[in-house]
Amino acid sequence: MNFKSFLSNMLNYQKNNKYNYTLSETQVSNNIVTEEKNDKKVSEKLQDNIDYLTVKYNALINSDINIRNINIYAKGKQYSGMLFYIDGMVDSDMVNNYILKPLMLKNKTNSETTNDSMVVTNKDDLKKRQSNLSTLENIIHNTLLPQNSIKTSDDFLEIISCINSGFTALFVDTLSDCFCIEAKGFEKRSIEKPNNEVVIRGPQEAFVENIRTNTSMLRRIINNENLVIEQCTVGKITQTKVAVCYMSNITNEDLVNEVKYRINNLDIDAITSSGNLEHLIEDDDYSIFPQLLITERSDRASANILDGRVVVLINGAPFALVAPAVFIDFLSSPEDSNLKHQYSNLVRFMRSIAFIIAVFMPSFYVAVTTYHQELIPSDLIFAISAGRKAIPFPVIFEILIMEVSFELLREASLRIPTPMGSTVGIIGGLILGEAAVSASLVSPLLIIIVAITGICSFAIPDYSLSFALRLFRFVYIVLAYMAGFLGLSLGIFVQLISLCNLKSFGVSYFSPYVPSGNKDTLNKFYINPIWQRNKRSNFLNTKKPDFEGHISMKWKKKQK
Amino acid sequence: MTKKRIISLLLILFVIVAFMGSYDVEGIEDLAYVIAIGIDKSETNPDNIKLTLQIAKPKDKESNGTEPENLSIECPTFDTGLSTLNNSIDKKINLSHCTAVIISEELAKEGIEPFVLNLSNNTELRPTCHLFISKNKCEDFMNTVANSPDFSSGIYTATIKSSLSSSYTTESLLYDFYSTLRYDIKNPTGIYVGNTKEKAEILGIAVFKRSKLVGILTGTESISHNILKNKLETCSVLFPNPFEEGKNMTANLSLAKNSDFKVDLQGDTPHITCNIFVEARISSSQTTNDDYTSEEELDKINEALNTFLTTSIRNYLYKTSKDFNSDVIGFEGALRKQFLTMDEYSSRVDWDKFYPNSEFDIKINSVIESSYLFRKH
Amino acid sequence: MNSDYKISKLEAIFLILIVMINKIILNVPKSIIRLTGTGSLVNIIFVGALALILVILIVKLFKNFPNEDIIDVSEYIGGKILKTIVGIGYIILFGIVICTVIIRFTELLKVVYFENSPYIYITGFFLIAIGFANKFGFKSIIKTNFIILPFIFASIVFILFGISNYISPSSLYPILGNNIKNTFVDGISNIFAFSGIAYLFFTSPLLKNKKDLKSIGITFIILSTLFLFIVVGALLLVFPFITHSEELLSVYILVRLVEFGEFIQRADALFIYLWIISAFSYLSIALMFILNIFKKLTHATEHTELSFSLCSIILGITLLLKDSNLLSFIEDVIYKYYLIIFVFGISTIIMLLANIKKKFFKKSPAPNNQVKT
Repeated sequence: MNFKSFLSNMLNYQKNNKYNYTLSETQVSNNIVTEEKNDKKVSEKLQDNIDYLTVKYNALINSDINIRNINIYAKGKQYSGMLFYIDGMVDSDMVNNYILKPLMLKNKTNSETTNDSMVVTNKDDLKKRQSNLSTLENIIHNTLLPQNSIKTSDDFLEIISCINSGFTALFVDTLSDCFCIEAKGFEKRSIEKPNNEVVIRGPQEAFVENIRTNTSMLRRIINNENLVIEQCTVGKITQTKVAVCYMSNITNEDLVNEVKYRINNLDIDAITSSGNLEHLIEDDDYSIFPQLLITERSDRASANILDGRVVVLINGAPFALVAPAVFIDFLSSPEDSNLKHQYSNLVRFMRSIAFIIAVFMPSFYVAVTTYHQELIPSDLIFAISAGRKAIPFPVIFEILIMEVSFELLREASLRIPTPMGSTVGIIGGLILGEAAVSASLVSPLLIIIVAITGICSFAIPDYSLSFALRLFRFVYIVLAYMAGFLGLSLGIFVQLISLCNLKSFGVSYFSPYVPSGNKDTLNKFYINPIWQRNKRSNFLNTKKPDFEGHISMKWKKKQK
Repeated sequence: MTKKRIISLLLILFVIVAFMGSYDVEGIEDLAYVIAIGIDKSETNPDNIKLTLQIAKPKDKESNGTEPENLSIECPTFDTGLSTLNNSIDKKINLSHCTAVIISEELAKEGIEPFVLNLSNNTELRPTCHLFISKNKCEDFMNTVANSPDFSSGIYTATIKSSLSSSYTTESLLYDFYSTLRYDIKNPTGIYVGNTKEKAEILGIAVFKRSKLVGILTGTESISHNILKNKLETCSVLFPNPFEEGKNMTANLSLAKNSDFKVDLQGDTPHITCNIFVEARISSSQTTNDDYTSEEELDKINEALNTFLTTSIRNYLYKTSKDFNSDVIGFEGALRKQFLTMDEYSSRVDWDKFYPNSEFDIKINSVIESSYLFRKH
Repeated sequence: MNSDYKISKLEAIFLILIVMINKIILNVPKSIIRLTGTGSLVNIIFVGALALILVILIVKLFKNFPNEDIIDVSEYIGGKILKTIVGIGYIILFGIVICTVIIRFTELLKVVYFENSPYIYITGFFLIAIGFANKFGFKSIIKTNFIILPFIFASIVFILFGISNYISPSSLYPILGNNIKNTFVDGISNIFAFSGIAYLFFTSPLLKNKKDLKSIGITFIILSTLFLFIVVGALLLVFPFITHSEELLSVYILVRLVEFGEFIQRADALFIYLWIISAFSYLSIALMFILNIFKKLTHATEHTELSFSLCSIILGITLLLKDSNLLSFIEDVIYKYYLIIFVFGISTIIMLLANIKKKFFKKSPAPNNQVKT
């Protein structure tokens, strides 16, 4: 290295080029350019089909698309064929042993045509048999492929949809149909305990992401041939499978039609979660209250189906949507039907109290301390007064600060990694509680009020409803500060009016209270014992209103 | 402007208006809570009154409890006094936790009508406030109460409660006075209190005729009053021992049934028959032989008790009718039941004139039992 | 009205009862007691019996017109002119009701809780509530009313338990009041307490089952008489002076006495809270009827949008009528006699005439009363 180069190296200043990438304005092409016509049919030439699919699936770049060319033996002749599947979605063993083997290996079945051993029942079948027996398609479909589920199709749209869900497509030269063989074998989560709806004495099975597993759980519980599981697809890109489940001899047909109508008339690219679908099909998205019940328990979904409701399952989401849902459903927990009616009534009563406290307690406190001091008992008023002596803020700011901090703490605890989870609780308690009181930022009574409100809002079983409560609590606090009980009355009245106006799939939100329904259902406020629940919920207008006989415990009657 | 912008503007306006609060927002710590009001006659000016307010201030947040502060001022009326006193303390005076209104005896004899009307129309003051009549000056009384070691914000209600259980006084509410002033179906009574230098205590019952104080009832008179008004809880009565001269015994009395009266108007003289039903349990006596459990003994004691009660009630009734001319029990009400219309009643009866001429007939039905744990066999 | 939502029997009873309860809370007991003194209890039973006869008569007259209300019937008799007159008459009636209720409540709130706030601030709350309620429509109002009413019943029963300490039975006597003429003849005008009958004229087209009208009417009269009896009785028992005094809101003064031990004292704020909600409900119903009559008179298609505009008009009227002497005059004299003459008198006569006309012209076509919604 000579001196010159040394100097130039030392004094050389190279600007540090930061990596700078901005998104260029690409041509938006997905909605303007017309895609290829969707009615492409399978051609008889195998190579055309292979080319079409290669372009469609970008098979040259896609790493998990497999095209397997094979020679098929049938009727003593060889035909070329092609298997098209997505690696990871199919069960390799099944493909090898039950598709490739019978097609490719020479054996007695595909060497000769053996028609004469078929047994028929009557003359019509004989005629059909004679005309259709010896085609290649029939041989492959009826004799060579020992698979339990095969679909035949000539429409590429359907074939592509099958391939996307894990089917294996078999194309044969000279045939204008394609065989879609179900040999799915992708990894999925096994059935686990429910995480969010914990129940002591009920089944511990929760839905998983795979729709077929979920429907199988429903079938196992309901165990009746009248359970109908209709399939729809939603989403232009994702073509997500959505299952609509109902009992054909119980559920009101109008309701089922309405649910299907709403699901089938969605112009959307993709749905990725149950929440998306819920908001797309519910009656009024502007209303803060939820109108569909979300559950992850299979027993709860089945109970709702047997009651006459419709359950919607989505592929990829471990939650079921139950339609219609009324207000009292959000205050019931799945445990209510497992316990004795005395216990469940007590717990339900506690939940209603929790609901009222969670919405009204802070605003009640604000209203009473600012406008209606005479309501407070004399001893308590001096305690509150003493506590508030050194606080610099008015009541409204104090309570808003505390409520906002509580909400922030709640949000933070959701995001925190588990090892630090307990620390947050301690920090929260310390900072928000003790330290704030000692620093005279808030009064001690307020801490208790906010804590009780928080605990009561956790006692609400439904997740969406607790969000609604959180929102309304703030509105009521502001109204109480504006005009004391007058403001609270206004808030309650307007909320009642708007809730009475709300409908969930044609059913009024406050059924069965308004108008008064029958007394014998499960979801009234007071739960009757199981032997008194004679009728299904009458706001559902089911085909079979009677749930049980007038005397369901026949053994008791006979003894007399 | 799009709909969203209009809505967001309205929301912002709403938030601004909301956080200003109404004009009537009062922080709970900005109020001075009065627990007792005292009204005296002014020493300097005969038309004025001396208003004393007893305010309970909370102690620090570490120690619970309240400490008293008394404020006095001379003023022509209650409301002017209140607004003047507002200037001398740092908080706004609030009457919603006031439990006692004390008026001095001197002032009560002249008539408490203006104060009762004034106080009843005050929206903050509870109509269930107790009315006390103080023997001494209210200011002294309230100072004594303030200096007592167990002062708390509920001292007045607690004292009344405990003394009601011995039945030497009666409950007297502000709304009762207001009722009587507007419509005179019976006359009100007040709680008579007094104080020495160290302690303040309840002395008896103050009897009013309309709005003027006419007399005081103490001791057995109060008990008789409570028996006739069906407000007797329990009380201890000392009556002569029938077995030993000069000695007394005590019995615990309570009402078995409500007393009932019949009023029979003969000309201008009402004949009033009172049927009284009491239950008594012997509690103690002044002698050593204190085990009266046999039937004859109990009968004798019963007789003695009845005689004693009849005498005291009769004394009480004649005192109130002749000396005070004030129908505190409400016999007029029993008389009204006999008439169908008001016109008929007012043409026939002038109760103010008739009541002093009343003759009373008292019948006592008592059941007496022993309350001893250890009994003679 | 929403022609596809029909109300059941219980909802209809509650609809008319809220009228009674609000009136009872406001000023009806005071007016009754001032007129008939201690004979008010007997008078109420007498007047209740008269109202029952009237209601049975009205229900019978409505049998021939199951799907029509009084406006349609007046069109049947007198054409458009009579329809307009009757319609405007009822609009004035309901309008007076709304204004007086709002002014009374605002006055109470201003005296007790909101001394420094401007009048318009408090009235604004009432008007926002009823404006919103009418924007949402008929169905929500009926349902909300159905939910609210049991709580109001409970509060009145609660009061009765709370004041049981202060009762003095002798203040009820003499039982026939001042004199017999006063109780039975002058006291007939106390029938204005049953102002819910005005709403009964409009309920027939709303019902699911038209035959319910009779039971609704009878239940309403019996329950209202009972409530009035209880409240007036309580007032007389507790406040013997009430026969000659003028107070702000009689039941409020009753409620100030309610005490349960030492913990619940001065619970009147809670009761006022409940009564304000019931007042909202009542006012929404009255406004709903006004809008409905308006719609029938003018054949408007969208009447719910008018709710806020009507509220502004009402605000203007309440500001004019703030003076309490004028208000007492309007309530005790004008409203009372207007109700008796117009509702009990003229409307009943219209129904009678309609029935007679229908009998004579039995073969003539049915009146064309289908209102386009």
